[in-house]
Amino acid sequence: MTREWIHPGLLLIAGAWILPFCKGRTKRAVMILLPAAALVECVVMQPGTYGVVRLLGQEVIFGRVDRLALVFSYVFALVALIGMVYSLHVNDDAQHVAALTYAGAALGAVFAGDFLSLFLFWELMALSAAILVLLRRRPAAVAAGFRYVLVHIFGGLCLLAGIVLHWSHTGSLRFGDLSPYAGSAAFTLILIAFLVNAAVPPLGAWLPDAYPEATATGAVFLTAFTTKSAVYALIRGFAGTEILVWWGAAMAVYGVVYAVLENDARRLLAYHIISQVGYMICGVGLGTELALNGATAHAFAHILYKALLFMGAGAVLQVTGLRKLSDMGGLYKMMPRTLSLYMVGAFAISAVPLFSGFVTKSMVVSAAGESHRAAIYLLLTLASSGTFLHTGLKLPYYMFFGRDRGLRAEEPPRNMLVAMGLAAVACVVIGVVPVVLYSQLPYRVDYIPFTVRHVTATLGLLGFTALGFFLLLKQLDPEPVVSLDTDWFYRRGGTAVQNFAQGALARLEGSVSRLSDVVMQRFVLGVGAQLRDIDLRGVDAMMVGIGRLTEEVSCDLTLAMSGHVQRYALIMAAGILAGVALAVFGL
Amino acid sequence: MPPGISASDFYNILPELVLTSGALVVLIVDVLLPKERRGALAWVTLLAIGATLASLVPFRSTHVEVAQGLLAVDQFALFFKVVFLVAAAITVLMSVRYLEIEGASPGEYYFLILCATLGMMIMAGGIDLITIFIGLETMAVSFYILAGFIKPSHRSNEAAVKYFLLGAFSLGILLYGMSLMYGLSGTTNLRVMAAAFAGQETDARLVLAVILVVAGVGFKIAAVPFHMWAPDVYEGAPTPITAFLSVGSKAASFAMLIRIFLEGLPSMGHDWRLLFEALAIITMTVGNIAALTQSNVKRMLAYSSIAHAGYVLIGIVAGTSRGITATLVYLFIYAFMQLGAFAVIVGLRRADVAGEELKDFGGLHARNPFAAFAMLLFMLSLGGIPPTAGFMGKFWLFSAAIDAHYNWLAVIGVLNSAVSLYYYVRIVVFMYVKKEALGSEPATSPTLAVVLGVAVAATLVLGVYPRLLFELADASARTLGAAGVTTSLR
Repeated sequence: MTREWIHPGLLLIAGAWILPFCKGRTKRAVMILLPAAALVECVVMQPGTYGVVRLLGQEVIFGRVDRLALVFSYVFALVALIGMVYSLHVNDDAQHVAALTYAGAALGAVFAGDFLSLFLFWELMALSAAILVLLRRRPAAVAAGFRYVLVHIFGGLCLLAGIVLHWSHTGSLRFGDLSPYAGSAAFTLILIAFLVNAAVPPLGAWLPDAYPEATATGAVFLTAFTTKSAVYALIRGFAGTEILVWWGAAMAVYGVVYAVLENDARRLLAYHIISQVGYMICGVGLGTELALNGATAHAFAHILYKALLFMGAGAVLQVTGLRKLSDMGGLYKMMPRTLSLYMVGAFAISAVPLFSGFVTKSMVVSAAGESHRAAIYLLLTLASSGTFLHTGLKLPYYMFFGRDRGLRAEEPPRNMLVAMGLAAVACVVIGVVPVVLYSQLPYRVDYIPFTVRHVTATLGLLGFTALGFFLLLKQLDPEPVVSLDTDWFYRRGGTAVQNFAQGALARLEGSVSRLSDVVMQRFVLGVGAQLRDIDLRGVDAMMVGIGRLTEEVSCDLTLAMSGHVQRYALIMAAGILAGVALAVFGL
Repeated sequence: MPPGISASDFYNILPELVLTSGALVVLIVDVLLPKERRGALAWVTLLAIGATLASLVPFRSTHVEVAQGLLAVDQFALFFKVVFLVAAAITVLMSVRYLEIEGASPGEYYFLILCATLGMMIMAGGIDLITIFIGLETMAVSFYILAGFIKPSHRSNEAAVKYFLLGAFSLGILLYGMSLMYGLSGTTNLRVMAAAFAGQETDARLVLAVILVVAGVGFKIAAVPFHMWAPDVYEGAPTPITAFLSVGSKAASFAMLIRIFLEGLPSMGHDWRLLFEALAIITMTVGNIAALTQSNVKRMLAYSSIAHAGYVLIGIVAGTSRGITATLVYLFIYAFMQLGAFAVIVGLRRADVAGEELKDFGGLHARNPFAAFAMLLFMLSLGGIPPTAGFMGKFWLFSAAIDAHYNWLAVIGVLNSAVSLYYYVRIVVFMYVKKEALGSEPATSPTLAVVLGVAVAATLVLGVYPRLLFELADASARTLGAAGVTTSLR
């Protein structure tokens, strides 16, 4: 150890074990104090190198603290705090321990200065996340958790193989910029491992599979750490890798297209994580200072507003037990506070000016523009509009407004609202005073988000999306059963809108809906369904096929154990003959 | 005194002498004690093991040959002797409760455990084919009886008979190979043999000898296709004996393997490396895949133990001093995690329940959190997940393989680890997620708690701080071979 230094990640991981031994008020206090202490520690930490341990003749660095690591550590610790507040009412120690371990492992991965400690925390993260999913204790959750473990073991093995190859090549375990080794097997393996965790399609099917199955509180933690620590690792090791630009942009659109098909609220949000992470990966690929700043800032803002969105959906799940959009509707009367807090998150993810997404996402998009990549710029803008359409309009519409289904609901427990409030405040503060975040970024920021052109362009985009939404509402129905509750719309919209809607708008709707038939149903839905089919038939079927085959071979092997000693001896003799054959032909 | 034997030879085999006396004391005390107080024999046995461990202390850095090259007293042997004695002690602790439930008489049982340990110690020290064979027989005969020790149980009887028949068959094969080696070199001393074979043309008869010895040793370490006995015997034998068999017998056989091939046949390195490479690949793969569909945990651990023999063979194939170090380290670590896992199974054994089926682990977390946590740790360690010791062991094995340019072998090893995680995690899922199956407490006892505590501590400590173990293993691996004789350590 170079200096006195307590690892904030280890603080959480070790501290989590206090929880099972406390009760009542003390327990709640500990739940708040642990992440708060970690947050304070991250904030007061000075850049430098701490916690160096020599192991196997290598330096293992647990604390490589620089500006990039610090900014990620702030938001990880902050969201851990918010998440713990959100789950204060949950009486399940196992969940809390798993969640704190998960957060601690993510902090550990961020501060890891070498591959060995990175791998250690990487695996711990996968394991604790899987436990969080399993702890919902439903058959579907157990199955999803199991699949989660298997996918991440694959990723972990890629990482390990890459690390060992890298080590044997360079003799060093330091985790830094890997671009000098581009094209080598180690480079590719480590990149694959990071991309698995970042949920990059086609390696990302685990994310919408597992996250919606987690508990309401567990999902908040899940959204924050795994993908964003992967983004951190990519920024650290793979900045400027060309393939990431295209992959990221495709991912941003992919997530939105998939979200079209979704009816489960949290699954829809999960696809939007993929989309948003796409922006960050695109930024990493662009590799300019502005793009890397943008990726970092967007990760920061994204963790907060995504947590807020999941908390909102989780609150509805908690109160009503419902998860399908087509079953909900009319909750705005019962849950006005949840609605308004959720809408802050929805505006943030949709990059509405004065909310956090606006000042961060635009950095990535502008970086694409500055690098003269028109196609990327266009794709990212397209995805922006799709995001607003689904998280900002479709989901709240069906969940809170829509047809009143007479659901009985109330506001969620107070701690949930407090946690949502904290996240909402953070979203707004970043949106209004972006310099708070900009001053923490790894590179100097000259970027000014609030230019007239930018603001009007954004508002225009959002406005047209909103208009499109209400025009195409029928085509966007998650299930045909849900119909537009025009009552509410007219009442709120006032008579002016009413007249307009009955007259000109009705005629417009007729022609547009014919157009939308072609565009929405035939094209977008068709492509979406095709993609899902490929995912199911191709990727999943391959996994299932390999599994089945292995199981069959296993059964055959078991059958070979007949229990007859003579046969055993015969097989041994055959083994000797095989050895002779090997010697004769192989030597 | 017979010619060629001096008084100092007797001093050098002091640990073996202490252990033999201890075994005899156990037999005598067994007769003296009244029947209901024979449970105390466990403590006599532990005392004998402790005394043997203490008598190893003066030989920390000895490096001599005893009785003109029958036995070597060096750090390599010392390392293995510690493994055997610790494994024996843990087995005894596990057995106390088990024997009570089964109602078996403890006297011969503990005596035979000590005899088997004695055989292992001689195997690890032997640098002469005759000595090695005597050690092997001492160990094997003890295990034949121990496997069938639960006399009323058909499974146990069947296991013993199968083990005996196949064991005799494989010993015959081994002996045939050894006699060819003797015939071609004119000596039974491995170090003299290495000098005799050095620089010779490859002889077809010697290749045959290598194949036969590989087959014989392959049986002992349960390498595919010589593994057929292992699942049946592991399932049928009393659980503590299964544990001892899968740890002690396997480690001793690896010690024998290293002695015979690295000290005796370095000139044939190319041939036996190829054979072991093939064995390692097929053993890992078959062991892991067959384990996937087992519903009996003892049987599943049998296959897992077969697979682990495959991993350890990777270190032998690499053949560098780093590879041998990795082998020693892995065997040491493996002893703790495997014994710990079997201890949990012993804990689940009650008068009416075998406690071996996967479903018996259902909801264990709710019934006994510590046992479930311990099992979780052992499963993660066997699967090679950090921060457990199993990860360090595997990491070292695979990196040794890559170091020696056996990248392909390391890749297969890693893939196999991934497969193995499926069945290890399955147990964990049963323990933590499934509903309670039995609704009653597992039969824990203080001795069993000690076993679990030691195994958990070792699995964690060696995972976090493996350096001391690495250094000891490294020093041990370097003492292989007499001065002046080139070994195949590269």
